Amino acid sequence: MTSKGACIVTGASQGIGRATAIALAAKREYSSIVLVSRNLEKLEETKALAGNPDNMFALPFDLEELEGIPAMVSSVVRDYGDIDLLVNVSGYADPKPLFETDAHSLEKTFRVNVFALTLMCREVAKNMRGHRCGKIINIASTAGSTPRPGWISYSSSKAAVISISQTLTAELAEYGVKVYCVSPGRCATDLRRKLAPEEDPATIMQPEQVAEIIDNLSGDTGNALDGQDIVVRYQPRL
Amino acid sequence: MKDKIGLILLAGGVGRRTQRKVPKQLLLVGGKPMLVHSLEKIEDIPQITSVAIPCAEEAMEKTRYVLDAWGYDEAKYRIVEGGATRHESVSRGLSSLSGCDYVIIHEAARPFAAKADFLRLLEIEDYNATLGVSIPFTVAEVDKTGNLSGVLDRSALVNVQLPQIFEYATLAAAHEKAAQAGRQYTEDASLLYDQLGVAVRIVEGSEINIKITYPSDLVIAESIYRSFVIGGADD
Repeated sequence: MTSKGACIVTGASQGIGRATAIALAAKREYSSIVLVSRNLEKLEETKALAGNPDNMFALPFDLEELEGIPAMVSSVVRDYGDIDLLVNVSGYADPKPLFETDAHSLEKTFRVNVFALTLMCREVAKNMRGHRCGKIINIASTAGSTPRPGWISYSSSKAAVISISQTLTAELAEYGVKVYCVSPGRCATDLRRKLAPEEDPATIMQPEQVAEIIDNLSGDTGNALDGQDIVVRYQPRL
Repeated sequence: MKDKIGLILLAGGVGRRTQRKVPKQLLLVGGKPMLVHSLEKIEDIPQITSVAIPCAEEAMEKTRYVLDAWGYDEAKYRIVEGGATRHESVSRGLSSLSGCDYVIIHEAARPFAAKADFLRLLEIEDYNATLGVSIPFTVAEVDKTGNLSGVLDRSALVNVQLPQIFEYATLAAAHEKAAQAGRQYTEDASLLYDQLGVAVRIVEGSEINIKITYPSDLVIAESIYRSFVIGGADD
């Protein structure tokens, strides 16, 4: 039996976004779980891995298309009702040292990791402001709070996500909207493979472990943790 | 319950006394433009059918932009050009709300009036009412030489706050009479009483419903917002 409205998970075609969608589907708390990513085929894979629940819907959308975000969120509200949860997982990395970093790389990294995330927050918060509740969970990174030589665009974009989340915690509190920031450490995702290609994914944290934290935050147990930079690190026993 | 109510949200500041370049009504309190705090309190009150926002000519475009961004449509929330004085701005707001049975007057510089304050004005049986609080300090008279010339009995005084509600026709008549007499007022409950002798009920206001006037008030406002509005005082 569902007790909450709709939720949106961006970056749901793989990694932490996919694992989060599957974890949320298992609890059947949300009337609808809307999966957002560019790749419809992979979203359908996520849906299949979740057991093809009848309340899970794939919404192919390229978050680099910033101008389209208001209409995309409006369509979710129109089709699935008020939004109670937004999980911003979608991310991009182009790890390069300063002297190899160009404007295009910086612009694309910030477009996906910062601009799209902020506009998603804005559009979803408009709806949450109307029904006076909701949660927004933004996925940053430990790279956003500690130096990462060679990852200037990625780490600075994640620092922005931490700041955005903390700012919005205060800005949206009056409307009963809670904003969280989860900063995973090393996690076995495609994005991590790009950042650390030599690393054995089996030796680091798995996306399901981050998803479990996100799932907990989405429930009542997470109510006291908004406004923090919640660092998630896990070292498997090998 | 009163119905067919227009609301005048005075937003005529140009930032002179707050010493800011941004008009006072657009300054942020808790990260939100000051006038939006008030609009959020009244947006769900169905008896308030139209809102007039008098503001300085040079601030009209920016104010419209802010209203649009926060979802306040032009059909219900109209910006009107304010007058040279507060009194004139109220008159212009009144003119733009013809057809209403009642009018609420509020000012953007009081962002902490609660929704309950507006509702009490709607529910009270008296036709004309204003928020007011007792005065917790001594008020003295002073003569032209700058010397104390008398002490007022503070138990007989009230600090008049906004919002306030009036019968539209009565307030319009009072403004008309004041205009004929060449009189201007800084507040409309006083105008109504002085010009027509009409009774205005005092409804208990709140100590946090401060009027933001000076730079120090903005500091106090942030503190009130954190402690009383979102209820999460810092460590």
